[in-house]
Amino acid sequence: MCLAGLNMKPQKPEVTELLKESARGDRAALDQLLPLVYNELRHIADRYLRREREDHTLQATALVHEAYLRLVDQRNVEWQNRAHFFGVAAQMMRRILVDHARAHQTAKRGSGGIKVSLDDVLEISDEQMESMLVLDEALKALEQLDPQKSRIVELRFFGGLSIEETASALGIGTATVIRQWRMAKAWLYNEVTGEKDSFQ
Amino acid sequence: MTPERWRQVEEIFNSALELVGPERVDYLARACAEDASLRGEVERLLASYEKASGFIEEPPFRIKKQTEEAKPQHASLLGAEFGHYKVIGTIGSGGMGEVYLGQDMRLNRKVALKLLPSELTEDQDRLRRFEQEARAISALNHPNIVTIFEIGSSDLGRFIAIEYIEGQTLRSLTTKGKPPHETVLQLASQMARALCIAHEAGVVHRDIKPENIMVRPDGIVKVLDFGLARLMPGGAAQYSDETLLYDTSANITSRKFEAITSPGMIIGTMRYMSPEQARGEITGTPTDIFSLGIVFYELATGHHPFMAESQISAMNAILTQQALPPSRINPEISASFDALILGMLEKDARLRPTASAVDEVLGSLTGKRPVSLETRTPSLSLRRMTVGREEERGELRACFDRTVQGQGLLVCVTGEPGIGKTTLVEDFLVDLSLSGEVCTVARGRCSERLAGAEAYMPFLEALDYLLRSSEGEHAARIMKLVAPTWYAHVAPLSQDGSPDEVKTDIKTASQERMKRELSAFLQEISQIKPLVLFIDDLHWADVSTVDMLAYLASKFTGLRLLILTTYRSSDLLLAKHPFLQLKRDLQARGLCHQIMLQFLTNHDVESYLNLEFPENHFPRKLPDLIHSKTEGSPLFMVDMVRYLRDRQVIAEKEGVWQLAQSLPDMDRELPQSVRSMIQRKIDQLDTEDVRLLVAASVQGYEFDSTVVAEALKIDPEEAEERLEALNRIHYFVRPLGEKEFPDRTLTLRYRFVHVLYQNALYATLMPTRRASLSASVAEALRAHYREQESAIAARLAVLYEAGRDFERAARYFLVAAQHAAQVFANHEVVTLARRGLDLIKLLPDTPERARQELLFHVSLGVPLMATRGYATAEVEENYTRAHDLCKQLEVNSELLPVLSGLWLFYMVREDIGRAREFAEQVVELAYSCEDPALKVEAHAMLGASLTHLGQFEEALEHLEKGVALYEEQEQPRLSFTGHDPAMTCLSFEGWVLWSLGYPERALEKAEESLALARRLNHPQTLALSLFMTSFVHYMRREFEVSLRQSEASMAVSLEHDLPQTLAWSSAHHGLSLAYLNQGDKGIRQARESIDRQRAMGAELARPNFLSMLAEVLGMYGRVDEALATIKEALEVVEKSGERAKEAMIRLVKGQLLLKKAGLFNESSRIKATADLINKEQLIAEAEESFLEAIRVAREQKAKGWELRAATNLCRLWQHRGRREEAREMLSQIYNWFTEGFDTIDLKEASALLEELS
Repeated sequence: MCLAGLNMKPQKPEVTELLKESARGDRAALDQLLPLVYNELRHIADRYLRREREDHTLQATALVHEAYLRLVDQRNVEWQNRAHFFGVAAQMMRRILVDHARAHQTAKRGSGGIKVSLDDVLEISDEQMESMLVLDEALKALEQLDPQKSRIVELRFFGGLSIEETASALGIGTATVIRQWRMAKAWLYNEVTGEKDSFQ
Repeated sequence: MTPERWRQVEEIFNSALELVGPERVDYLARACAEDASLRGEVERLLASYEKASGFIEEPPFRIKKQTEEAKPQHASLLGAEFGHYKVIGTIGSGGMGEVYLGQDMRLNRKVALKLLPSELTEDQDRLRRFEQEARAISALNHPNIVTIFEIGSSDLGRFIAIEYIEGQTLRSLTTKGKPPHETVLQLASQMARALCIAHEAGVVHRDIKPENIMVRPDGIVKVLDFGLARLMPGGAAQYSDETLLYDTSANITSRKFEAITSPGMIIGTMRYMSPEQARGEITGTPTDIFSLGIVFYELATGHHPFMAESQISAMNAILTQQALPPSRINPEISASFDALILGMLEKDARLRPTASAVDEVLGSLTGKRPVSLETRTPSLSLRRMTVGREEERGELRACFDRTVQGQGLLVCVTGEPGIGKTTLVEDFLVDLSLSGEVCTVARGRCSERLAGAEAYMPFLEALDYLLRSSEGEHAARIMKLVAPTWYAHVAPLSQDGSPDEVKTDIKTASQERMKRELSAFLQEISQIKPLVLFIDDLHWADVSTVDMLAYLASKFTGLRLLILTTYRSSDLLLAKHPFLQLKRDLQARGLCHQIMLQFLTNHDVESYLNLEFPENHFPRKLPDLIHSKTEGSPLFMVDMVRYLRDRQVIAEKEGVWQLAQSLPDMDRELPQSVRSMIQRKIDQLDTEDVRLLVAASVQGYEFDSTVVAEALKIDPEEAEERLEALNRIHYFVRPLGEKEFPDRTLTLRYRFVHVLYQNALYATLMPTRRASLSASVAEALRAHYREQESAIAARLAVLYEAGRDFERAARYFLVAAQHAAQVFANHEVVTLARRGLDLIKLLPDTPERARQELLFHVSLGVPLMATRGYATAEVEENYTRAHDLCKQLEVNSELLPVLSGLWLFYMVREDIGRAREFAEQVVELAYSCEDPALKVEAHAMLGASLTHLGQFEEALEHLEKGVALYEEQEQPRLSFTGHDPAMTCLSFEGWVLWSLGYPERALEKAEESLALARRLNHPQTLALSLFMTSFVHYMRREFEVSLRQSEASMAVSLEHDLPQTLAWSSAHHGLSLAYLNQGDKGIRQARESIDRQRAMGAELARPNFLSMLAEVLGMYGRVDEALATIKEALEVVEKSGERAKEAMIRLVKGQLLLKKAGLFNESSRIKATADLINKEQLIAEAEESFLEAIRVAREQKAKGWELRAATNLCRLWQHRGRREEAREMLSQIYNWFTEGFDTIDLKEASALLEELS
């Protein structure tokens, strides 16, 4: 088992504490936490490239889970904090991907040529890049209308959480998640395919 | 779109999704009725939903697949040569690259060849590390470890040549069906052996999994890839044609290598990770043990212990879930194997067994292990000739087997001195080790000299024994972890250099914690190997030891612990020893088995003679004669036979043993008792030997050659030689082994063959000689222990006492008492301190003596409170004497514990006035010695006393000062009562501020107190703070919060054994329940807790609880009961001066009287004039009581109570038509308030005012 990379561990206790504090609503703690999570996600993604570990052992969406395992001292957090972490991480993942797509677009237009390390790691088709930005916009609109649905999409789509995990992260029932998810999907699909409707 | 509309759309959308075809159309028509736009929106969403089936279901990215272009074409390598190896075929491929079958052309054998990937060979640093590791592994020469032949280079690149194994991986073996249990054990045992060898050589595998374990057709196991996996890029299995992969979704296996790369598939490795690996921590040998535990589990049950749907869940399960005992899946699995596997799967790496322990257990389970005497038999187990005890040995064996199955048991071997109790147990222990049973043995003894004084003596000895044994390292690791308090006390004896690191954490210890820790330790240590704990001579046990035994017995279920004890039943009976009661209880519960040893029969004696003298021509009556002389006492019998042989009465002639005397002659000459027998033996010795033995008897039943030599001022070597002869030839003593004193001096430890020998020798001493020898032995011992003399203080004290050096004796009794206090052995502290105090009386009355007496009284203080009750006369007497001595000596240093003790005594005894006086003295003391920490504590003490007295304003002043001073402190310390003093101040401030009419500020303070307690994370402080905060909420009549907090306080108190806080918070919890409509349950609980407080001798806060109880009783219509409670409360107030709740008590009394009068109750009818008079009288009394409450409240400036009392009174007045008067009174007090208008009291008052105006 090649876990050499795992030994360079970020300050677990610090992250765990920040997580607890931010789950309690401490805004400053959240601000400190975000870059740590962000960096970790980048770092993990990057490691796949360098093949330091068995690449096939993790699914793409497990990035967030791995970040969690690496960043947080599991013996010392309650599940609420765990759910909170997934929320934060999913949000971060969304940011990473949208930034990535945006940078990619800029590069394509020939004005930037920014090198994004994720590029080398993640397989994202051009088509997916395009739709990512559109989806991001649509999600913002959904958030205005119904924040919980937008959150569910974020957790499921960007965070890779299952229905059950999403339910436990939000502290709601799985049936509720399923209902909300269906509605959000339909609505977002409407939005991104341009089949705009009257209800705005 | 409005939120309502949005919800409506969602609702209809979701309902419609459940329906199809015409049903859906019908539904939409109905649900949307006339609203066409609504229907349009829903239909559009439904249409989108159909189209969006795959939309955002997949994550927006994939991790790129690893490219495998670098892989050489193995077909083309056929026939190629790597050095002197020729490729003759392929074996398989894996993440590590191709594996070829090669032929070693020099040695003409088959090998497995691997080309090292270029990433590895191009990185010099990595390559070097790889080669280093490979060299280490190639040094592991063991049949269960695959051999690395060489790492070489060729034109084709660097390669590695490995032993070629024909066989299959464990994975493929197990997929063909679960092997028979015997095979499982055989395989497991070989894997353990391989790990054991590697770990001993410092090599960690790091990737144990079924794919890395090969099984040859002949059943030999070979473990592959030691330590290399870590160094290989993307290291994975090499024999991948046989490497079967888990399909995560269905848990079926697939043979296709390609499967690896498809999403959702994983290979085994992640499932064999240890928790520390999953957390990305540094890993070591315990990681291999965990992984191997999983392999064993799967092998034995066919199931993975952490079954999960996905790899992430598996990782999570590894981190958090407990595995089901494998025997639940496969009942064939024995208790030992079950325990072993579970032990290997411990989440905490430090608790897992070592590879050698695993190997040892499996060795015994497979029955293959050759038993080596050196490592297994205890040092003193020479095989002796024992007769007539076969049945008892069988019984012991049966008890042991029961323990192995997971049921703890206490066995008492009883009988008179010389009957052979110790011998039986020792023989049994030898039996055990000879039979190859795997178990850990620990021994401890109770001492005659120190009977009842040295706390936990046998346990401390046993732990010391464990730490010194071959398993010492493992035991120390676990002890540090789960029994740090014990470790701190045992470690100095075992010369471990690091007791300090643990000591810091033992502040919050208690006797309860000591018990819990030891039990946890025994639990851990006995999990892998059952533990046999031998406690000899229990009739001399101290109270703490008996207590500990009782506690352990209560945890026997599932505990693989066999406690073997020996005791003299007559001594126990005579001393009314507390163990007797415990034994009876345990016997009744089937947890104690008694073996009462009987005297030997004629037949036994005959067997003994035949064993001892195999070829003999003895007269047939000889056994009868010896039997009748010795009455079948084994000790006497053995000694007598030896005596006869020594005197050549039994002699060997031409290879045959014969009797040289006639039986009647013999009869006349033989000694009459075992004591005279011993005396005769002593008489035969030369004087130097006697001198030596006598000195030894002064040290004790067990003694040290060095100490004896020093006491006699003879050459230590001579002493050793003489003792050796006394052992071999004369059978007086037995060696126990070599030992090192704390000053590193080596000594041989011996014990007398029987305690009767020691007694006999000691009895020969004349008083003067006894005194001088005792003093010399004490001196010698002290010199060897140096700074660690406190560990043997009790022994030294007893020796000096015998040496008539009373001053030194007293000094060591004091040290011993203080030492015992550290292990919370309160009974022993009391015994030791009392013995010391008795000695002191023999000394001339000097200031020095007074000082020592004071120290004794101080060390007695807390233990007396704990053992005799907080408020007993003995406690008062002790502290008062100490206080007098302080004054007499004019010392301040000891004044603090004395004053605090007196304060606590009077607080608990509810003489708050006196308590206050002592608190004031502490304040004075604190300011005179300018001790900032003490100031905080003093203010807290005084503030608390004043609060209870109802002097709120004065109290507030001190409490605020305490908090202010605390904030200036750098290093806050706990107070005498074991709480953080600032928390105490803040909590009491909450109480005081509410009383003074500031409900909001009160809440703030309570919350500050709680925040502080949480930050400190100190259980006592937190429990009390939670209780006090719940009290503030109760005063604010926020019963739900009060309920929650008292519950939290109960939880903390329970967890940390805080009986006092538990009784308080549980009373509060019950009362809160009652306020919240759970009357019966709540009142019952409250009553029980209040009674429990009283049973603990704590009267403090009784009026508080009684007043609350009365109030809830009234709520449930139990008015008379309530009034009786009020009466009691008022009596306590009168007696104790605890007036803080007096206003409340009086106002509740008023309420109750009104209830009795039926004033606000329409249904109660007046039937006769007498009733009417009675009613009027009750009302008048009630009014009087309310007025009294108001008077008390005003006196105390307790606006909170005044308002509540006034509201009650004014409601009465309103009813009686005295509206104006009522309005005036109520508005006056109501208008005084500046805060808390949302609290129930103020809202009620305001509502009433409204009605009145």
